[in-house]
Amino acid sequence: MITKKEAEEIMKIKGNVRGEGILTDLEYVRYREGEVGLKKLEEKLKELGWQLKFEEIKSTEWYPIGLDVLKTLVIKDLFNWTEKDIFEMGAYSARVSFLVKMLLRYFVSPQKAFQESPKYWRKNYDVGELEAYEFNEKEKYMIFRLKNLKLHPINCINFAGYFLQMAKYVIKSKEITIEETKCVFKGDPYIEYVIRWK
Amino acid sequence: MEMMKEDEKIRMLKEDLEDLKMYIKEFSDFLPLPVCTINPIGIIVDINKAVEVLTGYTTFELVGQDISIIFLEKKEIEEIEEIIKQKGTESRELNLLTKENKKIPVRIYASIRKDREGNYLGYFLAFFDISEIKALQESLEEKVRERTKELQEKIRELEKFYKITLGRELKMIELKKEIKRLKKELKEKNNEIWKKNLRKNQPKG
Repeated sequence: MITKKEAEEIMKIKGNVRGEGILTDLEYVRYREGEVGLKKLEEKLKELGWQLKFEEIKSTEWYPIGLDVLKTLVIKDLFNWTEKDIFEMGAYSARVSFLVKMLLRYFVSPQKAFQESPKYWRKNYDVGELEAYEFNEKEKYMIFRLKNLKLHPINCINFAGYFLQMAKYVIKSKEITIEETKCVFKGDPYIEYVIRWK
Repeated sequence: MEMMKEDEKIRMLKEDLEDLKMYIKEFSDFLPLPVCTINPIGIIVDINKAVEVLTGYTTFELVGQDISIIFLEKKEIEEIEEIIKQKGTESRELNLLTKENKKIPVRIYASIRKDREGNYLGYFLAFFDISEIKALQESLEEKVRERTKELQEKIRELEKFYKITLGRELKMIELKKEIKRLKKELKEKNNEIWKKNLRKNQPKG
């Protein structure tokens, strides 16, 4: 279990995230653990010194990114979730997010969606940059890089679930996979994801 | 009049957006008609509560899936997408497949979505459960079939009766003719006898 001291360290991470990102994760907790689960999460965060009333979170407001990281770590500990569950939480977020639904209006083709993705990152995070590095329709893969961003390894898994779902919105294939090929926590200068399809 | 500060403008816009989001969610949850939003490659990007109720799938299970997953007629769905691109709207009867693989007859209504530049964004798809109407229609058709059978039976009986009565009538006519002929014959015989007797009784001269 995360200690108060560890929570304080996490909260020192610089940057902000839109409330929508937090709300969709909380929605997934409700889906999996019910209202009781949400209550437990709220209480645990309070216990760690971070009181956050979930019903007061606004989707367009900015919140400390540390809080988003802390909440994800507490969820994993509290409900004994696996990395796969955290990955699924990311995918769920892309399925229910109001901001994603509005953004999808502009995803008229896979190439267009690929080009537009960095702008979308900026709308949700005020730290880090998403680089749409390579789109290869012939070889059926695309590469994204997350630069100047070092949150926590758990977020790399969560982002992977999110990016994979976003790719599934624009690529019609029964087999789409995502692989984290580079990671800042493994000594690489940035996080890199390769999405492949058949 | 004091100019509104930039921060204040942004705050108000955010509030408007939050209100709009809440309105759309409330309206979508209330709407009893199942409605899906489909993107240009046939992927479900949004559903309302009524879709969850009718199909048995949750938003989490359905959003991100191909629309054909919830229909029996997979090929027709592809055709519909092409028609929508050309005509803008389409309506027809299909069979919905629930999570439990139950078949529900539905009438679908599809309408195109475009952006400001006229680019195709996909379509809205609403479907109306017509299983009760179908059941009523089938029960009415069954009743019509039963009535038709009953009527055909009656017609057969009448034809049989007609044939019997007609036969009897013809026999009567035959008999009447026979009586008439016999009567005539009898009359002629009587006449002959009378003439014979008359000749016999005449004085011989």
